[in-house]
Amino acid sequence: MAAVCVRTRDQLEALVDGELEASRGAELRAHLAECADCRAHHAEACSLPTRLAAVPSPEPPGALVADVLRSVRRERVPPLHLWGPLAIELALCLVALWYVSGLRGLYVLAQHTSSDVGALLAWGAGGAQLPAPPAGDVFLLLVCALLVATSLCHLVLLSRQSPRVLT
Amino acid sequence: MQAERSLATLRARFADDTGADALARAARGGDLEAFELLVRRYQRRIYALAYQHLRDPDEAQDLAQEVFVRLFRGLERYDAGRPFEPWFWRLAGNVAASYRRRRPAAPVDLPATAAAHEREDTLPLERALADLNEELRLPVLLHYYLDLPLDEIATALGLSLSAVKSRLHRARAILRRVLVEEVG
Repeated sequence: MAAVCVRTRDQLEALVDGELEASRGAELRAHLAECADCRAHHAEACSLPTRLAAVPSPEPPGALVADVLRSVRRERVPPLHLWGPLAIELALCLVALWYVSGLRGLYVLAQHTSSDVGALLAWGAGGAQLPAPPAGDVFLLLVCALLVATSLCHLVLLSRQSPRVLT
Repeated sequence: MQAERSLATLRARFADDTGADALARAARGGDLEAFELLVRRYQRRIYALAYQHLRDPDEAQDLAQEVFVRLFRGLERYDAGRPFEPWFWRLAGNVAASYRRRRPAAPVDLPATAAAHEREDTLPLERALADLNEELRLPVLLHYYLDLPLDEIATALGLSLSAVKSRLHRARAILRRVLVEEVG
């Protein structure tokens, strides 16, 4: 093959895309006018983009959409670490419930709360000593504080999750 | 029957001309039905890309599925203020490029997936395309097959614009030589 043919064929794609300088394009066209082999290459280069776009492909399998949705639904199940804090919260709630109803009952708790609030108001008005809360109430307060802290951590964990995981 | 019913329900919720951007925004907010419509809308083109890239129907299905699952996982990173398609094609290009790196190709024959008479004209080109090495084939598929502009291909494949142009020219030159020799 002549050297001019090699150089021409190396630049046919650039010629088809209009990326050559005008003078070089003219040189190539002049050679194409007199070389049948290079013309065959040029014709192929011209038709190739259209033919590539027309290459057929089989239809997608009918199960593709269902398979994708099945995989995606599996990913929507909340991860195990999101359920962990729920166990702690449940345990703390049970302790609080046990304390409230098991030892002295709701009535006694309400009575104490009311007298504590009354004493606090009287202390606030300067008419009494600061009441000393019963040890059981301090314990309950601690349990509630722990419950609030765990719930806040849990909320932070949940808020970092994608909305899709939670729905 | 049930699938048809659920498709009808989907179409009732989203008009056929609901833009991909709107569907992507809804899917990003956790709407699985909008996501399903996105999959239905793009499955043909994604499967075609996967099939032309891998030349194996089973692997093509696997790759197409992976593209959509990665889309689902990545939707929260999608900037709803920008058009969905360039972002999606970039993701698809990335997944397709990395798929072959993870699973080396087994030699495959072109399966008889379409009627022979339909493919008579394109079979030599399909063979030549299948023989191209991957770094040349993927840009060709993205540009000529999926009609992606060069700048989007460059972004999708992490290449410069000039590198994409150069690969396309090299790929077309190889295909052209093979086809001319075959005819000659």
